[in-house]
Amino acid sequence: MKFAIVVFPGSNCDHDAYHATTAVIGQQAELIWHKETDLKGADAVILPGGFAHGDYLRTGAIARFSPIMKSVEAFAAAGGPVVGFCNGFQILLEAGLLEGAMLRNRSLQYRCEHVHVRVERADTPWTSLCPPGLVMRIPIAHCEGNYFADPSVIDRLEKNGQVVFRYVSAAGETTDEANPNGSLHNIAGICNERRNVVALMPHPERACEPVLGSGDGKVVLDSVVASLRAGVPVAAR
Amino acid sequence: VEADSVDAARAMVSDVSNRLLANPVIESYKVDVA
Repeated sequence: MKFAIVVFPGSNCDHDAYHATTAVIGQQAELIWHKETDLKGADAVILPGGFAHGDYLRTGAIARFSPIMKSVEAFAAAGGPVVGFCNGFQILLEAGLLEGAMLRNRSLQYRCEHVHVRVERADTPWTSLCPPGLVMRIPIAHCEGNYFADPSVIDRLEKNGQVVFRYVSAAGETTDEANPNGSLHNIAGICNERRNVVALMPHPERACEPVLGSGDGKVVLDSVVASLRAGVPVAAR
Repeated sequence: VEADSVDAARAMVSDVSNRLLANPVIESYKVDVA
C-alpha cells in the first residue's frame, strides 16, 4: 500500500514519517508538496509534524488553505484513512476535519519528552491492532498541545468514543501529573465521527524502532496497513 | 478594506476573521469601522 505524506513549508517530521512507512514497515510512500492537488493514488494520508508556515498566526491556520488540503478533505470524505501527528493534528483542527482547538501548553513551555499514552479505542483504522488499554511510550515535542473544546463537544467526543488516545502514567492511570500540556480530559488524540480521520499530539512515527528509545508507535502504522488489507474503504483517487 | 458600505466592509472583515484571523473555538474578535 502507499502513503501520501504531505510536506508544508516548515514540516520537519515528514522524513521521519517517510522512513517509518518505508524502511520500517516496508510500504510505499511519497512526499507530496502542499501546493500540489493530487494525492497520487495513496491509500492513506499522513499530515506530519513540524511548524507549517512557521506557526504564524496560529498553528495550522495558514496550512489549512494549502491546495493539497482540498484533496485531503475529499479523501477523508470518501472514507480514506487520514492521520495527523502533532502539527498535523493542529492543521486538521484548523481545517475543521476534527473538532476543537489547541491552546498553548499550560506551562507556557515547549515540551520535548517521552510520555505515556493509552489507546482508548481500537475501532479506528489507525489503532485496529492495539489491544485494549495498550499504553505506549512515545515522544511529544510541542508548545501548543493543550487540547480544548467546548464542554458540550468534549461530552460528545467522550460519549461517541472519539477520544482515541489519552495521556496516562506509566501504569496506565489517568492523572494530572501525566498530562504534559493541560489538555482537557488528558486528551492526546481524537478521531472524527466516521473514525477514519485520527490525530494525536505525540509522535508514533518517531517511536517505531528500539534504537530511537521506543518501538511502541509502530503499531499505529501497522494498524492502518492491516485495516486497509481487511477492507477499510479506499478513498476515491 | 474598501467596500461600498459599512455593512459590506464589516461583513468582509468578519468573514476573514472567522476563516483565518481568529479561531472561534478559542478566540473572539471585535470589528471597528471608522
